[in-house]
Amino acid sequence: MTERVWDKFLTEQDKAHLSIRAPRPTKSIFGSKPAILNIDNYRSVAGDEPMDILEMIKTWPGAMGNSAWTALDNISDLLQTARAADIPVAHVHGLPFEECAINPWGGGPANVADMSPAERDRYERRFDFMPQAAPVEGELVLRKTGPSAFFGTPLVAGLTAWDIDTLIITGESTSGCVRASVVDAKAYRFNVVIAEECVYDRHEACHAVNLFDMHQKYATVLPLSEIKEWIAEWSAAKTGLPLLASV
Amino acid sequence: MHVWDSFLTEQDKAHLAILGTRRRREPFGVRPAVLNIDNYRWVAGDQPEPILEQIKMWPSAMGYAAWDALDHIAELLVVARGAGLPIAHVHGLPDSSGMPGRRETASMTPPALDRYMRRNEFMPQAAPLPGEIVLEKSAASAFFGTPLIAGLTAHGVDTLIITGESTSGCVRASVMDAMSHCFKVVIPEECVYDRHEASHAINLFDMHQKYATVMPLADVTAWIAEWSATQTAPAPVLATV
Repeated sequence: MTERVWDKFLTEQDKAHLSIRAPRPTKSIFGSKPAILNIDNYRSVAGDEPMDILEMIKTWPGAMGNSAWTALDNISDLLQTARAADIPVAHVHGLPFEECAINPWGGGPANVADMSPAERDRYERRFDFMPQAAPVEGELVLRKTGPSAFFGTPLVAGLTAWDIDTLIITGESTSGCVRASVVDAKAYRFNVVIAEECVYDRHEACHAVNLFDMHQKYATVLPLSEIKEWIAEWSAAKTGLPLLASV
Repeated sequence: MHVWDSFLTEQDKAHLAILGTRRRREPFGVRPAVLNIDNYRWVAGDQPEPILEQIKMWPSAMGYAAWDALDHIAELLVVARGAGLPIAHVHGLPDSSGMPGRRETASMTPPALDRYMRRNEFMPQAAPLPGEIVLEKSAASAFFGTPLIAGLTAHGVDTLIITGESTSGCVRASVMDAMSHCFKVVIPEECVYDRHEASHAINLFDMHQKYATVMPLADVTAWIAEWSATQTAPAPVLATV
């Protein structure tokens, strides 16, 4: 087994436990009807330009630095492949307090009156989709008030209408909204695949250990290249056309 | 010093130092309940043993971590019951429910089948008493596909003290749903347990950062004692369930 991002965070006991315990029964990774679920790729986690996270959080406190911009390029790559294969795409982002009057999780509403004009400008743009991962016409776009894409949204109805049995999950944070949505997706019995280079987080330890948890319990964490290969094969089988060179 | 400190990278620590102390939510509201998750035989086995021994017989078990936590949960339950807090327990939906996804039992040896059949039995240290809410679930979260929310609403609950296992699985999933439903969530650190040390530590960090307040059991029982002293009349029962 090649090294995984979580290996160096596991304790000696954890590694011994994994080596003693019999391998879990292999589950099929993909079903027959996939969709992309693209979570929270908005301005407040990426800022206006790539920079080191420890610099970026001085102006965008929720931001994730270069890891966001790297992942956004990878998401853009996956979205292009998925759209070419007619795989449905669902996007979620935040439903702002100003519109819904439901407090953001983790506290009360922001104190807008005390913000400088620059802070206010950033605050108002916080849920703007990053262009690399933005929806295009005809894609499902939902807004949420909790971490999970399923909480208080009609996402399940959209997926049912498309006959979806598999979700390929992208976005942020690995340890927050991605994790929450993956847990719910599995509870609804979807097959869940996480494109490893397409999810990101503000803490390295949380990114790694949450990928471990999800890969153990709820999902399969795969390299983006393997997901793109599967999509190409799936698409070829569906259309009966010969396999195209990589998209 | 927190259990998660040794797992954070240098960048993670620098990030936390720059961002400063987050505005912490008030840990408790005014009407607490205990939500006790998945303290069943399958994760504790028949006696305390090192986890690396125990999983040879009970593959999902958690070794001493389970037995230590169960004693702490027993201690909390005594205090909570003494103060009249509502208590809700969840465990697994049995095969007899007919939910798809049942395990194949035909190939199990008789002892393995016996252990499997006893898997959802409550551990006596943390078992329900008559009158307490007991629900069976088919996914990680105690809220998924159960009427838990109705039981909590009927008691006017606004705060959940969450205990049980696994920290990184059903506890984490339930904490997340509890917070999405706008409950305040408190996790007594000694009362939750996991099969992997790294997952235990980092999931406590995540929950303390995002969804809940992780605090020592002694602080939780002290708060219950103070809260109880302010309750002059029995808790109002809004609906008979």
